Amino acid sequence: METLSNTKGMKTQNRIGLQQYSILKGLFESIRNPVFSVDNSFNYTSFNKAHADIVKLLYNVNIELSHNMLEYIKVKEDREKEEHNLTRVINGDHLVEESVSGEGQPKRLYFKVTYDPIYDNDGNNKIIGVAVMTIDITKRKHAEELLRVSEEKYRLVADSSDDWIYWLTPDKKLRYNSPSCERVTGYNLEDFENNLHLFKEIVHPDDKEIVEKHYKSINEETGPHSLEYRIITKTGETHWINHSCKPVFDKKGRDAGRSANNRNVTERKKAEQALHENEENFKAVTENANDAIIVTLGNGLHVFANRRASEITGYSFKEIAAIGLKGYAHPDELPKLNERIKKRLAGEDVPNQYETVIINKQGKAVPIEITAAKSLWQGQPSDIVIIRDITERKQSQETLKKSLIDLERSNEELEQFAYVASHDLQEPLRMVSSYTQLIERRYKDKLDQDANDFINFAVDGANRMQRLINDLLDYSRVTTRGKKFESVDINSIIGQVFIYLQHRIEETHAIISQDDLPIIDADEIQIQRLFQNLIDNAIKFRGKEIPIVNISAYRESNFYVFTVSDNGLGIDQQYSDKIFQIFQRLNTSREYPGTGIGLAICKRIVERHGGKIWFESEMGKGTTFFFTIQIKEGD
Amino acid sequence: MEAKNSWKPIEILLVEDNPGDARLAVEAMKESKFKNTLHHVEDGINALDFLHKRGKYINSPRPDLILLDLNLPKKDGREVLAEIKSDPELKRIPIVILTISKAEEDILKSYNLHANCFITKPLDIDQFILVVKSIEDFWLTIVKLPPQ
Repeated sequence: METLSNTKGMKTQNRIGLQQYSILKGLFESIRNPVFSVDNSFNYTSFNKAHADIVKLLYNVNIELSHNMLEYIKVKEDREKEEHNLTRVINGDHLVEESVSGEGQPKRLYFKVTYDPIYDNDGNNKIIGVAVMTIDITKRKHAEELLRVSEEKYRLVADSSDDWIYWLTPDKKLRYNSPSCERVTGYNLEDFENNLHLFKEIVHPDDKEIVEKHYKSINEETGPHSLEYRIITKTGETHWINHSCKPVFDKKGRDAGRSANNRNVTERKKAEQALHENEENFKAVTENANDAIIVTLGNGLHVFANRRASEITGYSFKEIAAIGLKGYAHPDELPKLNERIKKRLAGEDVPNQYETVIINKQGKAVPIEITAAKSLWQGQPSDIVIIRDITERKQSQETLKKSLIDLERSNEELEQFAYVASHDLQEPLRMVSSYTQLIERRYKDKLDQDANDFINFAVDGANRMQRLINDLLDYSRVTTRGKKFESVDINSIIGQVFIYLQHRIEETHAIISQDDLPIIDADEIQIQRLFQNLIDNAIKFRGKEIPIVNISAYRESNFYVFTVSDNGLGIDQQYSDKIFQIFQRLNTSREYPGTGIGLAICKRIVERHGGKIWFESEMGKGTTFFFTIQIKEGD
Repeated sequence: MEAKNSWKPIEILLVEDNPGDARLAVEAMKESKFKNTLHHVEDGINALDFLHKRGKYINSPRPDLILLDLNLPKKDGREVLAEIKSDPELKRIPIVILTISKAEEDILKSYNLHANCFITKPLDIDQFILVVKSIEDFWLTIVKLPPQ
């Protein structure tokens, strides 16, 4: 195949010599890129093999010199474009163009084509043709296309991401920023483009330091980094973001900056914080609790024990977890405890508060009170047990019990003493009294008046002393000789009191009234004595008017409150305690005879019946005595 | 029998550990218009020896009346009373219990043991003499009792 025009070649041959022509031809053919030339009529004046090959490939034709090249181009658009280009160059233009051949054809080829005019050798700059050099850029174009497609794909993904994604170039310019920046930060793409410092400005003041540190560390290292920090959004809200970034390199391994992914983790952080707060609270509560708290799973495994649990048992949590319930429960109590845990976790109704005993690390038995509840521990059914050390309570109960026994014994002894003493005191007293009187009886005529006065004082003293002793004896008998409680109708008791006091009532014209009174459980003799003393007092300490006494009763929770009110002298409230004391008198014995035992005995009787006695009084207007009697259970 | 009583002094056994009380009884008896012989023993053992004519009491008379204190050393009045009342030879001798105790249970117990009379020692000498007088009246009634 002749590829250089003969006619022209002849001319060239002439000018450059035959050898040089061969060299040029060889060189021309060796060019891998297609090269050709046409004259002003678009007829080939030369082409190399590469060009012929490519035309063959594209249009499946074998080209020849001196033929119009346009005729070989089967695709209309290609042909028109080629004609247009060639025409322009013939008219004096230089042209570099990228073109695509075989558009729509299976093998599309991309070319970079340089069009240069060929000038006549005569030096008159007359254009006699066009030299066209084609560089096949198909491979480069394909690579570019692939990159474009892939970039588009990734951009699409990045643009639609919930996460805020950006890419900074090595010189900290914004290479890419996802629109989701607005969702995460409240600032839109434009805000970030306009302010390169916005990345740092939105960081929460408290987190600026760690973020700074992060930026500093990524400059020194190259691996991926992630951290979580708070930002302040455009609307002033605080958002938590999970920031992770890594260096980016191009294909040739050159630094292409850093890409960062920022996820809004505010909700997660809030949940974490709530969980953390819950845990902190649980920790604070359990660690500061004064009771031991132990959590046991259904398999008996101890999964939690607080500080107090270690104090009470003497074992550390690790030890407690290792030894389990059987390691510290009292052997006698273990089966019961195990059964209760099992039943409780099975949803059965078992006692959830009871006392038991554990053996601490030192081997000492510790009485405890357990309060247990079914719960969940990390999703598993668990038994939460609250343990209170009741050693002190037990001790004080013991002490109290002992004191009570002591007190009872001492009371008994005292009563025995009072009884015996009054008994034995009577004997010598009778001696004093009797022999003084015997002297008077036998020697009255032989003594003077002084001697008789002295004898009277001695006898009077002895008599008073005996009354006191008898009263003391009475007083002690309230408890020592008390009768069993039986059902007593107070209405009939009052009736008996009337009979007993009949003389005094008639003497003073006293008016005594009574409301309907209840039936109570009491010592009949003592209750009668109680009313007798109070009614007797009401008449005894009367004013100038006829004494009016009323007896009534009302119920108050599990007590009956009885009242005995009068219109008598009244009692100064300052003596509210004193009048109930033994042998305490508010009047001289000359005005109102008596030893002052009556109200003391009343108080003792009321107390024996589990009640209280008190009075309300207004001087000169009267007094009301109140006393309570416990109502028997079931009444 | 009746004639015999007017001649013969009444034999009274006083069982009383307290010399003061014993003397008072003696003094009260002195004011009595009945002739009486008061034998005084200080405890229950001696009282029973006297009644059974044992030891130093071998020649003692059978008392017509016993005045018995309840609180006695060695053998107390309740035991003495029980023994006398369970002895067929002695059970008809009238017994007057003299005590300072007003306690119901003492009184009840004494009557249960067939004491004939129960008298609380009074503080007042006049009352005491009255008591002794009532014993005299009591004596007038017991003379009508069947013979021993």
